[in-house]
Parts: sequence; C-alpha cells; structure tokens
Amino acid sequence: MTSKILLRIGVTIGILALIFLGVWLIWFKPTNELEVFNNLTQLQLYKIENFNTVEDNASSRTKMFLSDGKEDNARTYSFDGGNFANNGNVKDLSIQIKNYRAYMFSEFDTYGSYFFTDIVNNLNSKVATLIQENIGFDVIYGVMDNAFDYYYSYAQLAEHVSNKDVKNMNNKISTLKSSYNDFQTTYNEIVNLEKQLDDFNNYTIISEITSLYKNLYLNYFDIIKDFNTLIVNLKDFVNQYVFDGKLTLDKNVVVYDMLLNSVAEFVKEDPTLTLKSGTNKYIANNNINNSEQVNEDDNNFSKFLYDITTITLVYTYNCTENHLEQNSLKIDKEIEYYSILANEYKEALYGENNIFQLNRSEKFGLVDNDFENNESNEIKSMYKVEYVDMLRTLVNKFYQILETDLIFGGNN
Amino acid sequence: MKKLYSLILLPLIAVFMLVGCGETTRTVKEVQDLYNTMVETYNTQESYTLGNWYFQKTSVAETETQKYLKMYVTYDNSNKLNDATYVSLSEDEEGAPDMGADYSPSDELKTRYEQLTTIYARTLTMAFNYYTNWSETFFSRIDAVDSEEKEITNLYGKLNELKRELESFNTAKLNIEREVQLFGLDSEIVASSLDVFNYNYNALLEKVLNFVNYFRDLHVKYYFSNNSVINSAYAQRVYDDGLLTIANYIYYDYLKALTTNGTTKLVKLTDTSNKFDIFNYGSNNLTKFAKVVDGRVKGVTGISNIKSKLDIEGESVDKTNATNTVKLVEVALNTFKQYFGIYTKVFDKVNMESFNNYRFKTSGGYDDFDAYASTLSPVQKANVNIMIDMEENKIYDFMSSLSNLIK
Repeated sequence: MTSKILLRIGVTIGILALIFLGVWLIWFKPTNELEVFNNLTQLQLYKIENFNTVEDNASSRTKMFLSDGKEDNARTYSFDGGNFANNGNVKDLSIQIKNYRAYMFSEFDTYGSYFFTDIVNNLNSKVATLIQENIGFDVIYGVMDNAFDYYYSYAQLAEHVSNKDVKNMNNKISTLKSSYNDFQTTYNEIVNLEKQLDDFNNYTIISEITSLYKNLYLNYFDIIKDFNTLIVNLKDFVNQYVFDGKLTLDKNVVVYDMLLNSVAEFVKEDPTLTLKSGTNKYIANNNINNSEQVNEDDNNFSKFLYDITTITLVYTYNCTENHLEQNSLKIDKEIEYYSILANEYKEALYGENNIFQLNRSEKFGLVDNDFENNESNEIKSMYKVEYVDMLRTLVNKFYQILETDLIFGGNN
Repeated sequence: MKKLYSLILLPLIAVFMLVGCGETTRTVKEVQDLYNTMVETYNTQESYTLGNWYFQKTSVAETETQKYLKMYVTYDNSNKLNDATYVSLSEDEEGAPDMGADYSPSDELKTRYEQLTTIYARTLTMAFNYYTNWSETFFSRIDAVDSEEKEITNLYGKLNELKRELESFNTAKLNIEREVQLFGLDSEIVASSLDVFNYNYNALLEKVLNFVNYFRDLHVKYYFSNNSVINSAYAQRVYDDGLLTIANYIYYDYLKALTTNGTTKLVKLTDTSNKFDIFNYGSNNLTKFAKVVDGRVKGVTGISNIKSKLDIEGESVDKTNATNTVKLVEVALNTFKQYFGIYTKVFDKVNMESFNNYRFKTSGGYDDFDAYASTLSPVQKANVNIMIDMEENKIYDFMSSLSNLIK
C-alpha cells in the first residue's frame, strides 16, 4: 500500500516537472544574448569565403581579379587591348562586360567616362577623376562595411533580447548569405569559362561570359540591397538592446544614417536600366564620343550612382580622416543640422517625403534658390519653411549638386 | 517558555541592531563643515596669498576663503619641486622639455615630472571645477528643495573618502618633497618615490571624481532638470559638466588603465607618435581648457564671451547664435556621456595589459592592429574596437564641440 502511494506521488511529481519544463522551454527560456553577435561573426567569415574578392588596401574596397589573378586582365576586354580582331560582335560583348565591371568595380577610364559625360564635362579634371574612381558598387559596399563594423562591435553588449528580434536578425543574415553565395557561384562560373578562353575572338564563350557578367552585376546589386537592410536592422537592434532605445546622434551615427537612407532609396532603382538596348545602339554606331546617343535611362541610373558614391566620398573624408582642419568636404555644420532635424522635424529625414527619396531633378529643385522657379518652389513647399535652408544645405553637401568645385575648393 | 521566547527574541534583536547600526544620516551643514575642515587642514604658514597646498582662491580679492576654491597641487618651494614642474613645461631649442641647466634627470624622471604637471594636474583641476563653481549656489538653496536624506548622506560619505584619500596623498607628497630636498631633482632614488606619488595621485583623482560626479548629479536633479531657459548660468553648467566629463575619460583611459597592483606604468603619453594629441603642448584642446600660467594650473578657461551674448536683453542675432551653440554642445555632451557609459562597461572586460601593449608598446608592442586582433576572440575584438573608437574619434569630436563655448 505504502509503495503504491509513493509510486503515485513520484509519477505525479514527474509529470508536473515535465509540464513545467515544457512551459519554461516554450515561454521562459532565456535567449542567448550573444546569438546575434555570434551569427554576425560567422557572417564575416562567410563573406570572406563567398564574396571572393581582393581588398584594395588603399581604399578598402573590393576588386575582382580575373582567373589568373592579374588585375591587368581587365583590360583584355577593352578596345585598346589589341586582343580583338575585326570581329565586331566580340567587340560589342567586350564593351558590355566593361560596362558591368565599371559599375561594379569603378573601372571607369577614358572609355567608361561616357556614362557621366554631362556631369563630368562640367567638372575640373581632378574632380572628374576622383568621381570616376569612386563610382561603383564596390565603393558603396566598402563604406557600408564600415557602418556594419561600427554597429557590430556594439551588438555583443545586447541585453534582454527578445526571441522575435533575434529571429529577425537571423533572417536578414541568411538573406545576405544567400546573396553572397549567388555572387560567388556566378563568379566561379566566369572564372571557369575564362580558363577555356584561348582565343578572344571566340564569340560563343565570350557571349556566355557576358551573360554571366550581367548576372554578377545583378547579384552585386542584391548584395548592396540585402547588406543595407541588414545594417539598418542591426542598428535598430543595437539601439534597442544596448542603448535602451535612446541611441543619440554622434557624427558616426549621422553619417551612417545618411548613407544607409540614401542606399535604401538607391536600391529601389531598377538596376537593369543600364542593360537596355540603347547601349547596343550606341555601340553599333561605333562612336563612343557621341554622347547624344547615350540612353536616357542609362544616364539617369548613372547619375543616381554618381549621387550615392558622392556620399561615400563625404563619408570617407569625415569618418575615416579625423581632425580635419581645412577640407571642404568636412560636414560639421551639416551634422548639426541633421541633429536638429532629427529632434525637431523628423519627417524630413525619415518620413514619406524625406530628402533621401527625392529624385535628382527634385534635389536640384530643393537646392536651387531661384524664387521665380515654380518647380523649385513646389519642391520647397513640401517642407516646413523654417527648415528649408537646413535641408538645402544637407542635400547640397551630400549630393554636391551645385558646388562642383567643392572637393578641391576651386578649379585646379 | 522563557527558552522559547529567547530563541525567538534573540534573532529579532540582532536584526534590529543590524538595521539600527546603518549609516548615520548626515545633514547639509555636516557636509559643508567636513569640506571646510578638509580645506583648512592644508593651510600653510607661508604667505600663499591664494590659499593652501590644494585649495586655491579664484583671486586674491576673494575674501571668503571657502568659496569658489579651485583644486590643484602646490609643492613646498624650498626643494625646487615647483621649479622642476614649472621648468619642465618650457622647451629647449630643440623642442624638448627643458629641466634647467642645473638638472639632468633621466628620461624616466623627466616623463614623470612632465605628466604630473600636465596630465594629472590639469585633470584634477578640471575634475574639481564643477564643485568649485556650483557648491556655493547648491548649498545656499538645498534647504529650499525637497532633497532626500540618503542623497546628502551619500554626498557626505564620498566627501569623507576624498578627505581621507587627500591625507594619504599629502603624506606621499611630503615624502617626495623630503627626498628631492635630500637627493636632488635628478636623483634616481627619487624615481621610486615618484612612482608611489603617481599612484596616490591616481587614487586622489578617483575619489575627487566619485565625489564631484555625485555632486553634479544632485545639482542637475534639483536645479537644472526642469530648466529650459538657456542663459549664461545654463551655459556655464554645460561647460563645467563638459570639463568634468573629459576629466572622467582621461582618468579612465590613460590613468586608471595604466595602474595595477600599486604602480602606475610609466608611458610617455605626450609622445606624438602615439597620436594622443589631447595631451600635447601647444594648441590642442586640453591646453585650451585648463588654464596654465607660469607652468602652474590656475583653473580653467572661461566662457565669458558666449555668456555675455546670452545675457543680452531682448532678441539679437548674437544671442540666437549663442543659444544654438549651447544647445548643440549640450547634445554633444549627452551623446558623449551615453557612449562613455558603454565604454566604462567595456573597460572592465578588456585585458588592459595587452591593450596597453598594443597602443603604448608597454611590452614590445604588436606589428599592427591585425597582429593584435589575431590574439583576441571576436567578443574581445569588438570590445577593443569600442575602446579605440572612443580614443581616436569620440573624445576628439566632443572636445572639438565643447571648444565652441570658449570661442
């Protein structure tokens, strides 16, 4: 009898313990507060393996080398390389490859400058060179990487994290990993095909390579998009769990915000705009200096790319070179304005009509101080009168729309 | 029954005694009396017109001795320690600190003297400056506000710790003065006493900061938390808080960080190759904030220019600009404090020995950051990045912002 009672008590306790354990596992199990940080660390390693590029130490951007690892091989695809015979079709393809590489790796040379003719022609030569060397997905990616590193360092201090936010971060990490993987797969295919390329007049292989470069370009664009999404979410995560939702605006935060917001608008743009047949029409006429034949969409995308990479230049001068005393790219005043706006008129920076969503023509409209210009006045009327001057200053500085001599403070 | 009662009663009595023997509640008057006692202890017999070894009047004209006293260290002049500290600030033809023709101390001694008179002395004055400027108004009005007993008691406790630490410091100072008198400024025998003195200076700074930080928090809580009018007093408070914040940072990052087991590792912090511009001679920011006259710290640079603009009657462009400047500096101050809070958490997690080896090459150093980083786990590396960001970016940005108030 006693043993039966004891057995019943034992079984009851066991069942209750199992129930409590289940409840705890489901609702009360503490999250591992380092989980997000650890996954981000893994992402860093994954990135090195699968975004298989070589760092350019001078500017911490990434460049791709071709199959034999020599950067000069990039010129194999140019007219001047002397590797092409009279096969006009192969030339057309090589120009397309050059086009993609230019957008991805800032490989703009005399040939590539036609994309920005109407902008670059108005700049002095030093500025033009600087812009052309800093336009490309690699440059945007490089500065975003710095923004990522900044917030990543704080992620390991996160406390009392919620399962939901951990899951969200893990999703964003997975998405980016997948984009890196896609890029690496395409890159490996290009490398393999190039190994088979004994004769540069081999239209078939070069045609396949060209098609792969198009995919690589689209993959890179996706990386920019997914990386930006991850960093924005990471910033929110750090703000919530390290700074208790009260992350204040220091210089880094302001500059990163402007960068990330600008990239967020940039990636809404259709990257295939550069791939329209207008480009081929231009090539078919074999007249690379005739800018009238440049496709309008091509040029708009190029201008948009010019804008976003100008921001990266501003970032470079302000976040990586400190204690600047004399430099026209210094943005102390603009950071002050940004801080004021973030406190007093948030909508101008983060709302529906925020300055980052303005298209190029609208940006000109905001910056233009011509009071008789109806279009400009219409844009300005989107914002509160007392803050228009601040917004003009921000947009002007970050997009350098009017002050083309800003970088060197004059014509050099 | 009696046994039962005693069994129940004894633990209860013990608990009552424990509770009853807590910290004695202190009043505002007791805090002021303790402060006055501390100040009066170090009055000298010599005719130092401005005060005593540690607490100096703002000006000769100041008649009430306990008001607005600055804190900096003055040495007994008979042993020429003051001369050494003064002379060390001037430079010879080649730009090296000039210790005077009669002395040729070793590099180690030179470095010690130099850092005691620049970094330590200025940090001490900047740290105490907040109390210097605001104790008068704080104590004159505290009875009118509904302050908590515990806060005043805590304030007393911290001041008492400061007082005790000052006693230890004074003993170490007397030792060093005696040794210099016996053996000379350039004697290597003095070096180990200087090391002890340095360590005591560190401890003194810690207690000063504990006390003044707490005082500042009470001051803001009771007098400025609901104050939205930006006038000259507001600006002064922001500025003084800024100097106190810088002093906190310097103490942590350069003084506490180099102190372990009773010694302060000697590192030439003003070595320009270290890129620690905040300490160097010349026009860098720390020199701008701490007023150095004849090699002695005489207080901090004032902000009279911007204050006069804030006190302009009615509206004006100057007043508006001045108001905006103060607002922006306050934002910069709150931002820096936020990051400093994170930094102090990270500080305790970093292996300071290897971090100092990286930044100061205290044990041979590393080839570059990557070589150092390769010895760290991902979490450790992240912590180090936060430290480096403070050191190379945030402190400069903040000091640059604060210096807008002294223009």
